[in-house]
Amino acid sequence: MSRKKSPAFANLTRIMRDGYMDFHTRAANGAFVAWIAIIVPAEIFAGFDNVVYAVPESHAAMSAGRGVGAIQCEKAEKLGYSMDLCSYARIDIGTAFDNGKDSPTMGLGRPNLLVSDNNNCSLLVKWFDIYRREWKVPHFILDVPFCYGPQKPADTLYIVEQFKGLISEIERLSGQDFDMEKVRRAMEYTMEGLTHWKRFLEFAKHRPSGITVFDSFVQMAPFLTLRGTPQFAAHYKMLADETQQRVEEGDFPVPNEKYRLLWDNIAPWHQLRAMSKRLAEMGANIVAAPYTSCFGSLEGAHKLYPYKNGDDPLAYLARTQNNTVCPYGLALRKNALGRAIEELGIDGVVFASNRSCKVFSLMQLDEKMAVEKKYDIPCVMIDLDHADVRKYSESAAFLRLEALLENIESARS
Amino acid sequence: MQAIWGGDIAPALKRLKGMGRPVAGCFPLYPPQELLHSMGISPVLMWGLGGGSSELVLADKRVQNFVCAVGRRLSQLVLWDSGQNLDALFACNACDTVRNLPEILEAGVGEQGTKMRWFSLHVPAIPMQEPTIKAYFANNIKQCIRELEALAPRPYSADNFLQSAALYNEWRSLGRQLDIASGKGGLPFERLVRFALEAAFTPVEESLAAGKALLKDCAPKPAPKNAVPVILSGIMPPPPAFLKVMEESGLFVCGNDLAPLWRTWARSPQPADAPEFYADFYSNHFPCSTLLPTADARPEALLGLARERGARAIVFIGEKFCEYEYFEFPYLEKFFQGQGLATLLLEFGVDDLANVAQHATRIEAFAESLAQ
Ligand code: SF4
Ligand code: SF4
Repeated sequence: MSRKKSPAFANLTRIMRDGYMDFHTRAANGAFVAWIAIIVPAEIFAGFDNVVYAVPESHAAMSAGRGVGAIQCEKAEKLGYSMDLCSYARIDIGTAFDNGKDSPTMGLGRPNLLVSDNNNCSLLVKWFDIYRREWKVPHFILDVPFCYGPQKPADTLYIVEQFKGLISEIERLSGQDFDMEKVRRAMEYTMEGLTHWKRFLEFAKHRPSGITVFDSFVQMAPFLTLRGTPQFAAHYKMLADETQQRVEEGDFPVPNEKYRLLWDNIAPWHQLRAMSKRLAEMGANIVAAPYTSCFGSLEGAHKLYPYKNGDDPLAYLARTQNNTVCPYGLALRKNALGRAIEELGIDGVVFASNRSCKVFSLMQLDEKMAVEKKYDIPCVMIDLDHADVRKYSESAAFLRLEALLENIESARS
Repeated sequence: MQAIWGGDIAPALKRLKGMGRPVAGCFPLYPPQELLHSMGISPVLMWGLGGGSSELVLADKRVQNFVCAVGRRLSQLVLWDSGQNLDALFACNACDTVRNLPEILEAGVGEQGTKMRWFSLHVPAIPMQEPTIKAYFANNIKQCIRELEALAPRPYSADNFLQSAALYNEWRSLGRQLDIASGKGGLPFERLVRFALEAAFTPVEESLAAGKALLKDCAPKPAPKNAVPVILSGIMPPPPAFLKVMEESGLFVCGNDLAPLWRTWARSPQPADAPEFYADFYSNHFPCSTLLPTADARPEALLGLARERGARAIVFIGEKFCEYEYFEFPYLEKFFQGQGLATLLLEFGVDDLANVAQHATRIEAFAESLAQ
């Protein structure tokens, strides 16, 4: 992060900016607009000629990263939405009801369809319902069972049926025909991009690590808004190639890496620069997080879940609904953490207890106890809110982070 | 362990256990009690549990303090009991917080040397009219029955289920009658709440007998002079101290849509076998913010209740950190103001027994504004 902006990071800025420009232009020219939850498989929309989608959670993260998260949260709070609600929701509500003012992307316009998915959390359904009621926009809900273990075949079929329902609904509302061949092509781009994403993450194994978690947090953005596109595939190839070259040249983000840490929770979007810089100065590198390594994998695994040309895309997309961490039960969470600790040689774990995302945070006390017991490495819990900077204290967090590094040090000596 | 509404939970649990049936601690809200009962399992509904924050030492080791009081208190109970009286846990997916708890509690109890079994049921968060969705849910119920057979003293039978469903429907009907009587001044609201919460730890047969006796003593009497009739809306009732403040401020509770009371009692599903019964039960339930497909009907349902009972205001009891309710409040407040009904939002968390004075000021000010 502290190094000169690399071509892959410049490319990220470009494709994200172009993506939002394209979204607004096509929407203005009559494209059918969907707002979707991050876990809704975007490849489905590629099956239509003129459907564009926006991802409020991604926009909220970007807003927090650009320093306008708290401003938008306050707007929502003035409308009566409690400060205890998820900050992504508050940012989005604040942005939407103020017509995109203060947004880094001029807001997200108005949707023709809302598509939520209760896999990550049910609150997305409640959140999108606010717009359905206010704007009289249809809301399609994908109901995905929580995964205490591997997805059951009956659940996969259930989700596929719902995807088919979503496709029919878009056909009905937009008057456009759906073409599965286009989805197959989109799947190829997605899989190509994911393969390179996994390559990129692998550089965390290097000592010193070729990446920081802050790099991977920032680089997640295309997952949310550009899956299934040639830009997606090309970008992650560029990122992985560039990282490989840097590692070969001995150019590391934390060259004096003394402590290799793991992060558990959503990214602290408003702190990426400040936190990574301060940690790097202490010789600490948070090298990975289940939050970013889960993409393309299943239920706590790190490996790419394979898709072969000719496979049914809807079945694959249904099966991989369980890729993100929020819907994992405790056993799967422990697997995800354990794998990372073993594969990456982790010295300590930072559990970010995030009051804004209860589904992610609720198991952390148990996870922490389990990691300390099984791996005998120090862990720390810090309080933060992933997108509302008002609920974060840098001094309190660093007091604990410094204590963590001291504990690692004393365990070594 | 004291229940927040008084009464000792320990003897109640012990008594249930002593009846010889396996006891399953059910996570709120609206578990399939009839099913468990019909298979010889005693369901215990874990809400309205006790105590101030000092009693949550065990829970605080495993769940953060930004979890709602319902979640924290039920965690404390399960960890405290540690399998002495509770043989198993049963969780529905109605709430994100709750869906995370079974394994946490299993681990906590496991550390004390007891293997705690747990069961879960996924209820679709989408309408079940579509045959494929309904069929999926029916399979979930059947799967749940198969799993429960490992705990239950007797297998599922359609006849036993119909008998249990009839008992619970009778109990719901009795609840409705008591609620209506209370709204007419025939039963103090505080007594009605106590009845509902005690039923969570009592065999349904006994609750029925107790409810019938209570109903006999109900004679409608006019609300106190100048009292302002209000509806209480939310997940849990406020602690008794707050009901007292409301009463002293001149507010009279003429109705409610609280989860253990009217939301539970309002409707009795049609008798049918378990998959059909529960499709009806969850689809056509009295609106609740946690049963997503029903939530849209809440404003009209509450308005109907308010009109029926002659309410002049709605007091929302916000369960601190319950996002299901929080997302709806601005919409509900706007809706009721449009209907000429005043609204007040109060928030209650684990530590709020210590904040009586602060809430009391708001309640008094609200009551005064209504009186004018
Ligand atoms: S609560 Fe967590 S999972 Fe849900 S929308 Fe917010 S950040 Fe996402
Ligand atoms: S009060 Fe709300 S958050 Fe708490 S268990 Fe009930 S539904 Fe879940």
